[in-house]
Amino acid sequence: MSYHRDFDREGERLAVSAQPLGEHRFRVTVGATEHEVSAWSLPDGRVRFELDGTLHEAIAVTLPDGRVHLRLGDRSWFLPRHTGRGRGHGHTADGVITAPMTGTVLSVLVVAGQPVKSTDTVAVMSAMKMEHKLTAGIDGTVAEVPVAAGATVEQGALLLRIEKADS
Amino acid sequence: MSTPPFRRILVANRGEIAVRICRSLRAMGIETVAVHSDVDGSAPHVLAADRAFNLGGRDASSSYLQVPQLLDAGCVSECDAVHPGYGFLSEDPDFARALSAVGMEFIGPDADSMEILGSKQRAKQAAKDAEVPVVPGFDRDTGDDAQMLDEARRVGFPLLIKASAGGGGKGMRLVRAEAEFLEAIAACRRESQAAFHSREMLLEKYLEPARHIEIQVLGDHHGNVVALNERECSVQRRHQKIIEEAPSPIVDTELRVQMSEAAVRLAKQVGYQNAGTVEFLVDARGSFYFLEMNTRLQVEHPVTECTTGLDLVQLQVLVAGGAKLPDLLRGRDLTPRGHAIEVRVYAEDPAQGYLPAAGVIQRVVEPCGPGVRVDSGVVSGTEIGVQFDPMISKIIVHGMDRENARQRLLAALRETAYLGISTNLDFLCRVLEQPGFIAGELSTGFLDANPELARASEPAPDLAYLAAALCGSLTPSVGRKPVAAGDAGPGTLPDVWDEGSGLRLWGQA
Repeated sequence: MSYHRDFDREGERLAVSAQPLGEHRFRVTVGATEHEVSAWSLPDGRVRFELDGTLHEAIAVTLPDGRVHLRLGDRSWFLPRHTGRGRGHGHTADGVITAPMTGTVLSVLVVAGQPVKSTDTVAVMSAMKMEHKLTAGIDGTVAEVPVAAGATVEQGALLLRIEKADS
Repeated sequence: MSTPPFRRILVANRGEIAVRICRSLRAMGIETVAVHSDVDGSAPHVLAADRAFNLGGRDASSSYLQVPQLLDAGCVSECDAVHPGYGFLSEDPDFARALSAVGMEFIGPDADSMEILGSKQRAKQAAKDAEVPVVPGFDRDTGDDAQMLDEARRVGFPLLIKASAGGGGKGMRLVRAEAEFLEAIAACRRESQAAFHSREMLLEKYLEPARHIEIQVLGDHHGNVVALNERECSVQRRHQKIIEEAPSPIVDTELRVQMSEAAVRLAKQVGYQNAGTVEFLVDARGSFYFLEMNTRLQVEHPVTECTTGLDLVQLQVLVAGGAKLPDLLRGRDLTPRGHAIEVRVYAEDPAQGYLPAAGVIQRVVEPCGPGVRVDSGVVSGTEIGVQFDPMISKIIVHGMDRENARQRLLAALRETAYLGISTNLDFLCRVLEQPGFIAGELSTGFLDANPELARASEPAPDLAYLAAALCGSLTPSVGRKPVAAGDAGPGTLPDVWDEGSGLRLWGQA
């Protein structure tokens, strides 16, 4: 199966894709770099792949907050998904807006009970000296704002919840 | 084996140790009854037992620590004995007495010796009486901080202030200079009051660099006590063991005999029955000092099992049923065979001061193979809460020597994954590859001396993203709906998952 996902690497979009080329062969693109690799799935759910003559083993799952938790050999990472053009992190369509990265909440532009449009900017975060605008993603009413401006939040932390407007 | 001494045993614990105990009991032909809180009803330890009893509650104090409910569970399910595991009520003499009053056998030491050894001060006195060397210090606290400061000067700095009733690093402070002393003892008294309802402190000279080496002992109900060699548990963070091994890289036959004899003397001094562990500090010259005795099965008992070929839970049950050690161990060579290492896998983030992590483990992959043993308390979908200890499993390997065991363990850890929450797996791998660890140069200050081991992983390289893409292409787990806590059923998650994840894109090759 082919795969595509936009990851967020230090605030920048990193497009990653894999295309099957035939028996155990894949073309994998990470940003601007293209690789051809051989890969096999193992019975325990891990994947073994060969890149430039070296074998690696990995396993990954996608978490409810949109991050991919990867274990590769003896190392692990949580790989966040790219927020997209002004979209919030995670599942914006269900109105749950989570922090795309660990950082500081610069401002919260809405209060609980306030109606919002999907394109409205609801909060601004800062990390790695870059500002990230988070939009509502859906039309609705702000149900919950558990953070305030100035708060330091972990990646994936709940910033806002918006209740979908009845339609 | 002959007829088991008990027909049905209540396992008053949860997590990996309850699973592990059930396995041994089952092999012995003994029926098992698990207990659980309201939220643990389908936990692995419940499924490992033949029957289960709901104690109610969510956190430890309203469930696994509820003596009346546990007694009720034992009586209703007609158990003739209770295995307490470690932690919870395992070292509570009143629990042992309460069981005895309703005619159930407590699989552990008798309440009186538990009481003596549960007080650091009385334990130290018992050690002195048994001619077991103790760490120089002061143990006659009258509650007067000014007097304690005088005694501290006599003991000398650096020293440790320890809560007499304490354990697990609570109510304990290392004081390097006199000026810090009064503030530190006040903090220890507050912590100890909160945790153990006692303000009594003792002072101990701080030995550095020292190793934490302990002797496993086992006593029967006929006055026999046997020592089952040492375990080294020097790799600790905040006085919590992380990596344990047997035998110790520095213990030779002569030291093993000396320490074993001292441990047996202490156990006999207090009339000890069942499994226990005598902990020592060993300094650079090979002198050893009694620290404390733990009156239960230890977390790290599997390394002893690997190197002796014994099943300690089985032996606990047999001696509790009245069996005599000379009959059980007759003709056995108890010299350690090969080398075993255990790592404790914690749900925590070492880079953030070992902050416990909570959440749902989406996917569990555990290793197997020659010499590999996994004592685990989780499965895919298990929720790790904040109300219990964050240890999720133990991975234990046995090899022909230490280096063989270390390499097997590294290979096993590379095959291991608990996806969905932060764990210390990467950290454990770094420790196992640290040159000082490889050389067996350990001390309780090992992690403080090597803080870089707890660092955060470097930013993910391109290789990581490439691996993620291949996992997404080849395994359904990447795009699969995540497991929700307590309910993995479909439809419980927002529809957006399909819209937002890689799943939707799979069809668009």
